Amino acid sequence: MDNKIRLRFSKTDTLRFIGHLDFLRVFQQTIRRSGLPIAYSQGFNPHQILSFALPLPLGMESINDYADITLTAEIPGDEVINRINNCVPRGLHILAAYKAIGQNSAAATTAADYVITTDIQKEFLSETTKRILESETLVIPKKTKSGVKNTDIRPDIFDIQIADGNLQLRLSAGSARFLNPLLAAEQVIGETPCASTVSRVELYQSDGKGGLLPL
Amino acid sequence: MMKHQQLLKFTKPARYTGGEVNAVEKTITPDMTRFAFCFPDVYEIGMSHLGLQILYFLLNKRKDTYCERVFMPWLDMVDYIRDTMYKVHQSHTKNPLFALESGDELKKFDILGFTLQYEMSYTNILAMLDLAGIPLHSKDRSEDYPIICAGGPCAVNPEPMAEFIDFFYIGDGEASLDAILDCYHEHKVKGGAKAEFLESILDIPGVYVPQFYNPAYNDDGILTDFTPNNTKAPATVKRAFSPKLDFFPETLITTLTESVHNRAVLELARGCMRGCRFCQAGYIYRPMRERGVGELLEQTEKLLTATGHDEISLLSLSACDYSNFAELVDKMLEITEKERVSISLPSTRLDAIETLAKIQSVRKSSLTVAPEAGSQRMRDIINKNLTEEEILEGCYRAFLSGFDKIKLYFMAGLPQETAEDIEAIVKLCDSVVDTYYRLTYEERKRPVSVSVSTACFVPKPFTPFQWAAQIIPEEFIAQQQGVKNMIRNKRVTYRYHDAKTAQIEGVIARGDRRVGKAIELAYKLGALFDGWSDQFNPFIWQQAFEQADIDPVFYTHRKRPVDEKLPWDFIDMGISKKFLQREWERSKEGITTPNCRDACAGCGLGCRNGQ
Repeated sequence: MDNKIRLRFSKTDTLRFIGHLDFLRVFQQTIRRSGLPIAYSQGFNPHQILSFALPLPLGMESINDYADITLTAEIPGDEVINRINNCVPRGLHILAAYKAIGQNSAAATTAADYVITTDIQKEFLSETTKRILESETLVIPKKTKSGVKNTDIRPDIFDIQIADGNLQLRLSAGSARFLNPLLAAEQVIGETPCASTVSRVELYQSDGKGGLLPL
Repeated sequence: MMKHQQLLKFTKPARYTGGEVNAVEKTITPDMTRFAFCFPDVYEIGMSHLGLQILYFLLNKRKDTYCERVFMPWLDMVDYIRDTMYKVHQSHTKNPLFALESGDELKKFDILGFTLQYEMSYTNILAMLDLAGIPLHSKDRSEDYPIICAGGPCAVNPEPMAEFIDFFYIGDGEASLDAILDCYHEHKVKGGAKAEFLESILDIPGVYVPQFYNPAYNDDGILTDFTPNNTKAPATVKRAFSPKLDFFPETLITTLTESVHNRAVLELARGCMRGCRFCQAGYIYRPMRERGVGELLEQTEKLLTATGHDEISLLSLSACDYSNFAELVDKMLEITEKERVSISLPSTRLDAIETLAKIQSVRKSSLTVAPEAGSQRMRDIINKNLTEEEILEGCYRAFLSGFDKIKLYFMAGLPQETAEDIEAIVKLCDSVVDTYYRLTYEERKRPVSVSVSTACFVPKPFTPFQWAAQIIPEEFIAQQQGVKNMIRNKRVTYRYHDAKTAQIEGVIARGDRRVGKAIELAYKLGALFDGWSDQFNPFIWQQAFEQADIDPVFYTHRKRPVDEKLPWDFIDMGISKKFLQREWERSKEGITTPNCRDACAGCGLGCRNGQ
């Protein structure tokens, strides 16, 4: 009876200006408009059974993002896509819908790819990238709840590449470990880029063999 | 349109992006009439306003018109726009105020329509014109600038804004807006001067073009004459009126961020049958016009499907007075329970507690009751037909059905008020708390909480109190301190409105054309968001009044004789001045007037001609 569906979607355009809680509400309303038979939680204040893989910081766009929903009836993936896409706000688009197997997307997420547009010279970027990737550690002061702490972020940087003048980052992301892309980009560019230059392009789960698989 | 990077620098950038569900997108063509609906407060307040949504969809139904939305930007964007507009920058482009749908600046529009919801938003209107690079005064705007119009409840006394607005629209939007747009379209195709267009709409009900009228005053500053200077302008401006409410949008723009009221709204009725003597809405929207149950249920389904909201609010001046209230609620619950939607009511009378309890079956939040005055004597003066027994009995039934929070709204500074009337407010609150303890120990789940607030009474045009003297801020403050000191009960919390704000509101509400100068000066001295208690600065206004030679005593703290010519007398709101005068006299004697359903008071509208 458990029809857990994973939705792959993009959140772009003006939707980059709304925060996670607002986006959750927008998504819930969209599902309600679609008329899909979504399951509700039990209890005093029932809510839709819906969860997102990873919140997106305000200002960024996401090209491939994921959410899990549970339906009370079997509905073909194509129909799910069409019914939601018929009533989405500008900037939200469902790209795929398929049966979600195993852990929910939030628990499964371990890494994310980001593309950051920058006008900093390629030579400079290549040099800092090389330096970071060749070093064993990268200790930076990081703001935490209890003040500024020196933290080694190197283990959370999986890869950095420069292509077409863009900076491409693969960083740890998820509930266990998370590295803020702005912080990582700052190490490469030398300044904190504006969130609006960041695009999150993919989210990954572990393939169980030390590699990564898109959600 | 502003760049993403720039937008992110402002608080709540989603205020400025548009792109919401159900927002209307149209291809702009040169022959299209471009209308900008301008709301002089921030996005999340404006978007909670049903009038905006009704007019937006009403105007956009027309193929020849594209209505877009503009809101007052928050202070950080105000600074940014001013910076790029007035200071010399080498590479910066100008970024004047823009509309949400197209991102186009306001100068590109044909008509800007401001809504006058509250006197304290008038400086924001001037700010919006200024931020758009449009001259404030009607006479300073050449043919290239858009036509500026204004409507809404405060337009029933348009005079304080007369210098800035090209034409006012008084009354129901549904009634004559189409006729005005027909005229505008013809004018646009034909070409011609703005004045010609303004002349062409003079015979449409609800239209007032201030430049075609001249006021005259005597040495005491009292209005003596108000006559048209254009032969086509009527001496009396009749309100626009829809006898039946036949338009309702089947969809609502659904915001991407939390707005003040994030819910679908259903207008049950317009107008009110009660006739509370302080309440402007109770007179200017007369008579009460209800929508049918079947129609409302159909709208409910459509709105919920179109918006995806999980809450629907029943809007009306007094929702419980809706004829078939119980039937409507029962039938609505059939829809809403299935769809997991909750129903909410803005404020209520106590007659329908059981129905209310049904509505709030899941989350029994607080109940809002407005006795308006503490003593029976005062409630009779203001014609709030509600006895202390009814209030307490209503509260008892509310407590029994599970409510444990009650909000009580009162007004201070009402005509003929004495210290005893203010004391009675505190006594009534105590009685409400005592009523809670009439419940058995088992029935009292949580300690009761009674929150009481007093608003400062501001006399408004087209009410029986339009001749009354408002009390001065110092008196309000003394009263508020008095109430504070008298409240001994720990279950009672007290809030009150700002007395200085009420004075300025009073001056503008019953102001004449000369008051506009003070509004302009206040704006130029830095007043913005005057309705926001944290932004309001009374010293600016004091300075503005002094510089404009405006004496607040003359406008609002003076009892006006009934034979004095009032600045809004030239407007015909349907109700007769004789009736208001009669009600004013009755109030002085403490005589109540029955509601419209029980007996016709002969207000002049002629629904039943006093029968």
